[in-house]
Amino acid sequence: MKRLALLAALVLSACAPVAQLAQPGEGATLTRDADALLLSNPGPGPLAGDPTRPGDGPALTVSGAGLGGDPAALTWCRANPERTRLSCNLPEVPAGQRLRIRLTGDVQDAAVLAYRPTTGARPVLVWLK
Amino acid sequence: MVYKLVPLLALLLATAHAQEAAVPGLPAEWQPLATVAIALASSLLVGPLTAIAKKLGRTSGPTTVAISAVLSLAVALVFTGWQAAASNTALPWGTAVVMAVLGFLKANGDYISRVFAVGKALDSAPVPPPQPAAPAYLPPAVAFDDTALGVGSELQPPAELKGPPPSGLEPLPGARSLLGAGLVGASVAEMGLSALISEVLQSAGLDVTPERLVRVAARLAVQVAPELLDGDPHLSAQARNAVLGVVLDMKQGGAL
Repeated sequence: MKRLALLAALVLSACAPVAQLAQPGEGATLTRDADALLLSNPGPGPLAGDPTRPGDGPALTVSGAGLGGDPAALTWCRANPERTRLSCNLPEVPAGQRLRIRLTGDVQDAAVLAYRPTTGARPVLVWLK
Repeated sequence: MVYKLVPLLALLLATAHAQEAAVPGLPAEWQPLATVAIALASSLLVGPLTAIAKKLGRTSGPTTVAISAVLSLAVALVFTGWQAAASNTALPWGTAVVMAVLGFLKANGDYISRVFAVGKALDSAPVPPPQPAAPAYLPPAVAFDDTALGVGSELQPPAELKGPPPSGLEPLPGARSLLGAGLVGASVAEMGLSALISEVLQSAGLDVTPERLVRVAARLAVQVAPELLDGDPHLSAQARNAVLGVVLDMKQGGAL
């Protein structure tokens, strides 16, 4: 119990600043368009992944039922065996463009966690609208 | 948090191996302390060596932790081997293993505490002033917003009527690429894992309770925490998927 209390105290002290971390002026959106998800990036700068890892892009996680995608989408995404979860490593989305991810199945919820080179290690989080 | 127990663990382990002389010529009652001191000193080498190995080998996650473990063992063996050679005795394997374990815990624990410290430092960091939404000479109506995205199917260009487009990049309808470009200064705010988890929880409409944080952190410890061991606060797409996956589970009320 003492260890748990210590852990909780440490975790809490480390996350105190989060209240101020609301994303100011974040314009990226994740929306539905028929059977596809659209990740729109108005800028500034591209929506990307970890700059220190080659081939790393925005991370998209989708939950639903019977999930799948078109061939391009399946090169980015991996489904769990139950097909209730898709975990995707998307290509970089340049400013002023949007990425279409065509999916099959019943999409319940989705979110993107990415980085912008302009904001450094501060991640960009976009929930499905 | 294990690293908080390092001194205690160190004394326990070192006492258990006290019969093996870590430093020849030292009184027996000082041997455990000598073992601990050398182990902590060797951890000073393990951290930087792991960072260098990661940089050269571009490793990540569990691989980096494994390299760190191997380096701990190597450093400990060099220390004890040198002592054994100096005193013409057999290599004290027990002492070497104890040193390796302590060096590993210290190096990795130090890293995790640094990650927490970075999150904490954000507390005192000045909040950047809000960015102007658009240049003043543009009327507000053309400023970028959701309605300008044309995400509704009725706003799609006619080409899409012939068949749904495949997955891929498209130009953003109504986007003005100059809008916002360069408006956000390059303020590099670094955040720790717990800060990231809290933010994801909050944006999902979940209260950030200590219990939730601990549960999420425990679920993520194996997949995500090792990636932060190199001092780079960026996470790979795989690790970010793991973070989102846990929070999606939580949002749906699934058992964690």
